[in-house]
Amino acid sequence: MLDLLNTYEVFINEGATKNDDFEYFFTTDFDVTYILGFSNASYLFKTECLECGNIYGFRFYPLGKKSKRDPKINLTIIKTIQKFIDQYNFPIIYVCDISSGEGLGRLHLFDRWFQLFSNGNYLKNQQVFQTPFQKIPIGIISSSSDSNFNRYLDEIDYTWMG
Amino acid sequence: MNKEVKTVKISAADAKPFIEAISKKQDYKNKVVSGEVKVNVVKGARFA
Repeated sequence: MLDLLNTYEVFINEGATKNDDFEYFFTTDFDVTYILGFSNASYLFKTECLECGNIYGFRFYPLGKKSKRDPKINLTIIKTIQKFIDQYNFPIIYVCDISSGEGLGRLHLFDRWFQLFSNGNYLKNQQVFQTPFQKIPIGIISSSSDSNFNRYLDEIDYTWMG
Repeated sequence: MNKEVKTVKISAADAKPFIEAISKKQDYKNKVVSGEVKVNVVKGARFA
C-alpha cells in the first residue's frame, strides 16, 4: 500500500503542459526539482490501432544533479503515475533507458513500483525487444477496466518509428 | 519479477529507428540533467 503522507506535493508545470504533453514537477527536501512528463506515444504503434491513440509515454528526470537517497521520490513518482491513469484513463508506456546498460534493471524497478500501487486496480504488461546487439525493455500500465489492454504490446510498430 | 518477461527478437535494421528515437530522448534528458538545456518550470495547480 502506498504511503501517500510520505510523498511530495506534485504541481502542474504550466510552462510545458499543452495538448498532447502533460508535465508535472516536485521539489525534494534537498531542493532538487524532478520533472515528470507524459507525452502522446501513438507514434510507437501501428496506425490502424485506434485504441493506441491515447497511450502516453512516461519520463522523469531531475533538473541538475540527482537528489540524495530519498524514498519519498519513488513514492511521489508512483503517486503521479497512479493519479494520471485515474484522472485521464490513459494507459502509459515506459521505454527503459538502455544507454547505460541498465534497461532491464529499470524494468525491474517499474515492476517493484507497480507492486506498491496496483492493488488489483491496474494492469501491467512487459516485453523485451531483442536485437543481435541490445535488449529494449518496454512496459505498459493501464486501468484494470481497460478492455483493450492485452492488444497494446502486439500493436507496437518498431519498423517505422523515429 | 513476478513472471517471465516475454522477449521478441527483431533485426538490428528493424530496431534502428527505434534506437534512434530512444537515443534522441535520452540525449535531451542528459542535456536537461547537466543543465545544458534549461526547462521552464511554471508552478500551476497542485496535481497530486
